[in-house]
Amino acid sequence: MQEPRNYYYLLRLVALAAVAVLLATIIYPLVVLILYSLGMSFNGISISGLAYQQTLTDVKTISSIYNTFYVAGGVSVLAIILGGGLAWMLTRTDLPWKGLIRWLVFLAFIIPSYIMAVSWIELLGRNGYVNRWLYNTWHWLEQPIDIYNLEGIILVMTIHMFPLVFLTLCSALRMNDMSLEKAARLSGAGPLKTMLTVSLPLILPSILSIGLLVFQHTMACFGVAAVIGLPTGNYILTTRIYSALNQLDLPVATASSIVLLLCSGVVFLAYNWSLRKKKYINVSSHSQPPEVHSLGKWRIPVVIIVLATLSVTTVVPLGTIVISSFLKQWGMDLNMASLTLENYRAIFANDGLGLRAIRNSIIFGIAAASVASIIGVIVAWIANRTSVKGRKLMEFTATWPVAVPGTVLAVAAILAWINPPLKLYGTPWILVITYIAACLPFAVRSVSGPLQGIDLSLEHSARIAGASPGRAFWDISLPVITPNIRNGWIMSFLLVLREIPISILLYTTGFETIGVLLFNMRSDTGGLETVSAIAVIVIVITLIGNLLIEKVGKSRME
Amino acid sequence: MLQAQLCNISKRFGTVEAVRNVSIDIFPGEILAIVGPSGCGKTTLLQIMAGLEKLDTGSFSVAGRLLSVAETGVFVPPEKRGIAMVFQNYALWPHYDVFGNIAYPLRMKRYSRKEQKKVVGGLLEVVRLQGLESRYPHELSGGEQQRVALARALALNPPLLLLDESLSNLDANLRKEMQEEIKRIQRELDLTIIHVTHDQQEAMCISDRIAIMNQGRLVQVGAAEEVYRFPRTEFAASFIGSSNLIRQPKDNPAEMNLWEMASQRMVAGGPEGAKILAVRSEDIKLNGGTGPVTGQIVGRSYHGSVIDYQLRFKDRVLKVQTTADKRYDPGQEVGFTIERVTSVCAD
Repeated sequence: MQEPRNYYYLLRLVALAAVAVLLATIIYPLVVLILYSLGMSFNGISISGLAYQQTLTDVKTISSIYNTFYVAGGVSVLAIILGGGLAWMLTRTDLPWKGLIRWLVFLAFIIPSYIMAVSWIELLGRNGYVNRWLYNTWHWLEQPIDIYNLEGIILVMTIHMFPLVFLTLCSALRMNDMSLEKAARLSGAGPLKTMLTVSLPLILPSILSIGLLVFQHTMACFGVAAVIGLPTGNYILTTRIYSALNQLDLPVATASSIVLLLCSGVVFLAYNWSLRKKKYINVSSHSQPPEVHSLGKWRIPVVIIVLATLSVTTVVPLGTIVISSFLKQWGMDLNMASLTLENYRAIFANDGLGLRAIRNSIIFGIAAASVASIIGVIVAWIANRTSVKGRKLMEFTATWPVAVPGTVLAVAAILAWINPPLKLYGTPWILVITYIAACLPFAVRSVSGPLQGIDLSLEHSARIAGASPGRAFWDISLPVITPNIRNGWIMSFLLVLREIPISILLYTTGFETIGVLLFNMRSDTGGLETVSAIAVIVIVITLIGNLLIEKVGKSRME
Repeated sequence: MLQAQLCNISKRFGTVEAVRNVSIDIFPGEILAIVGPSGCGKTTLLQIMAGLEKLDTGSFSVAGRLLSVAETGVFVPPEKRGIAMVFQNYALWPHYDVFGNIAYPLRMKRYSRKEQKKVVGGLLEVVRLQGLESRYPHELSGGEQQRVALARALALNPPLLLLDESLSNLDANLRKEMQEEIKRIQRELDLTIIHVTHDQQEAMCISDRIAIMNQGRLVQVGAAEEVYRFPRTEFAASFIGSSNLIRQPKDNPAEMNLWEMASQRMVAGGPEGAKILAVRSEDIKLNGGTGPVTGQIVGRSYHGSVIDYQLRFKDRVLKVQTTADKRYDPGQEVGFTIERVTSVCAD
C-alpha cells in the first residue's frame, strides 16, 4: 500500500526512537556481556581467556550448575504433578467448591516468590513457628525441620510455580475436543485406555511446554534461592553470580552469567519450539464441553485433601506474613499484647527508608512500564502494520529479555555502564534502563497478539473513509487494543515493584527500592516483622493490580 | 462519459497471477456485479480499485481522474480517492457507536459537528435506521450492521461504491431484503455500484450488468439476460445457471446422438466456429414414455416450484429441470427433446 510522504517521515522518526531504546536497553548491554566474556577488552575493562577455565573448574560454580538443574528439574516435575492434578480435577470431575479452589490458586499465583520464601522461613526457619511449636509442645530436638537447603528452594518455587501450570493445563484440558475421547470409547477403548491413548497424548505437548517454561523460570529465580540457599552455602547459578559480584570477582560473575544465559536460552528456545509444535495438533473450535467424571463417594475426602494442600501452600504462609507484620517483635508469642501497628507506622514515617523505597519503586515502575508500553506499541505496530525491512527482527529483539534471567541482565548492565563515557552505574538511570529491558517482552507481547487479531479491514475502511495510515492506526486499532496496553503496563509495573536481583545489583544509596529493602532487611537482625509489613503492602498492591487486569474478551471485536 | 474505467489491469502475487489483463467500462448509475468462484481475482480487482493494492500493469480511473497507472507510477492512496467500500465483514469499528462510525468520513473532511449531525441524520433515514445513533455495533443485528456500513460508505457521496461480498454474511431472507434495499438506495441517490459476489443468483437479480471472472481473467460482460441466454464460454455456461455441455463427438455414441439432436436446435448469437454446445437444464423437455429418444430417470430433487432430474442417456447423465407438475419416478424411461442450444468456446 502506498503511503504519503509525510507519513514516511513520521514512521522513520518513531522507528528510530524505538530502535534507540532497544539498542540502549537490550542490545548494547547483552553485546557487551558477550564480548567481555569472550575476552575482548571493552569500555576499559577486560577479562582473560582463563575466566571460563577458572569458572568451570571452580567447585562452587560446578556445584551451582548442578544445583540449578536439580532445583529446576525438581520444581518442574512437582509443579506439573500438583498443578496438572488440580487442573484435571477441576475440569474433568464434579469436585465441589471449584470457585474457592480457583481463588486460592489465584492467591498463590500473585504472591511474590520472595515473600513466599520469607513466610516459609517464618514457619520453618530455625526460630520458626513450626519448629518452636514442635520443640515446645513435643520436646523434639531443636530444629527438627530445616528449610535452608535445596529442597527448601524446591518447596517454595513449586508453590510459586504450580498456579502457572494449573492455569495453562486447565485451558488445555478444556480445549481438548471431547468428541475425540468419545470416538475412542466407541471404538472399543475403556476409560483408562482412552486416557492413555487419546487424552494424555493430546495434552502431552502442553505439559511439555509448560514444564520447560517452569524450568526456565526456576533457573532464573534469585530471591528465593538467595534467602534460603545462601545462609548455608547452597548456591545455584543466580546466587553464585551474586556472591561472585559481592567478592568483586567480575570474571567468574561474567562467565557464570554466560553459562546461565546459555542454559536459559536453550530451554527457552525449546519452549518456543514446543509451542509451535503444539499448534499442529490444535483442536477444532467446534469442540464439545468436557465430559465430567463423577468422584462418587470420594467427592468430599478429595476436596478436603485439595483444600488442605492449598491451605498449607497458600493460606498458612499468607497468614504468617500478615500476623508477623503486626508483631512487636519477631519471635514473640501470639497474643493480643504482642500485636501492634508500629511496623506500618515506621514504614510510612517521614524520611524513613521504607517510604523512600516504596516511592522509588513506584516512580521507577511507572517510568519503566510507561516507556516499555510506548515502545511496545511502536514495535508491535511496525512489525504488524508496516513493510519496514527487519520489522520482525525488531519485534523478536524486544522479546529477548524474557529468556534472560534478571541476574544476567543486571551483570550485563554493570559491564555496559560501569566506566565513562557511558557511566550510568551509580545513578538511578541504570536501574530504569534495565527495568525497561525486563518489561519490554511483556509490553510487546500483550499488544502484538491482539493487534494481529484485529481484522485489517477495520483500518482499511478508515483509509477509504479518508484517514492516513497513521491516523487509521490511531483512531481505530489503538483504541481497540487499549485494554491490552493497560494490562501490559500493569504487568510491567508489578514486575518492577516485586523485582529483586536487578534492584539488589544495581541500586545506589538514596535510590533503594522495595526489593532492596525486602532483601537487605532480612539479614538485619529483627527485621522480619518490618519485612512482613512491606510484604503485605506489596501483596495488596499486587492484588489490586491483578484485579485491574481486565480479561480482554473477543466479544468486543466481533 | 464513463463513470469508471479499468484498463488492461494485471496483478501478480509472487508466482500467482491474481488478475490478468482485465478491462471493464463502468457507466454512470449502473450496478455492475463481478462474479466468479473464490480465488478468481475479483476481490483483488476490488482492492486495486479501492487503492488497497497496487497494480502491475494497466490503469484505473474514476470520472476521468486517473487513480492508478502502472506505467507512470501514479497512485492515489485510498484516503484521497473518494471511493467508498462496504466490506464483507462490514468492518464497523467496535469502539465507535453508529453515529461515530457513519460520521468518521465527515470528521476526516473536517465537517463541523452540526453538519455531521445533519448528514448522518439524512443517511440514517436513507438506510432506515433512525434512532439508533448511539448503539454500538455489537448491539446491532447483522442486517442493521450492514445498513450502518452502507450509510458510512455513502457519507461523502462517493462517485463509485464498492461492495465486497457484502451480503454473503446474511441469512437468505435478509439477503433478499437487502438486495432490494440496495437497489432502492441506488435509484434514490443515483449511485454507481460495483458489487463483487460469488453468488450468481444474487448477481443476476441485483445488477444491471454482470462481469464473469475465472482464474484472473474476465470471461464475459453483459446484461444478466444476455449472459444467461448467450454464455460465451464453457465456464460462463456452467457457472451461471446449470448447463449440459456437449462436445463434438469422436467415437462416443451418446455424444454422437446428442450432438446431432442438439445442433438442429442451435440458435444464432453464439461465437462462431465453437466446438462445444451448451443446453440449459430447463431447455430439455421430458414427455412421458413417448418420443423417438428416451432416457432413464436416475435422480430427482424437489425444489418447490421446479424439480431437478438426472436423466441417463446411454453413458451420459443429463441435468434436466421441469416445472413441479411433471412428476417422474427414478427408474422410469421417459422421452426427451432438446429445445434450445447455444454454442460456447472452450475455456
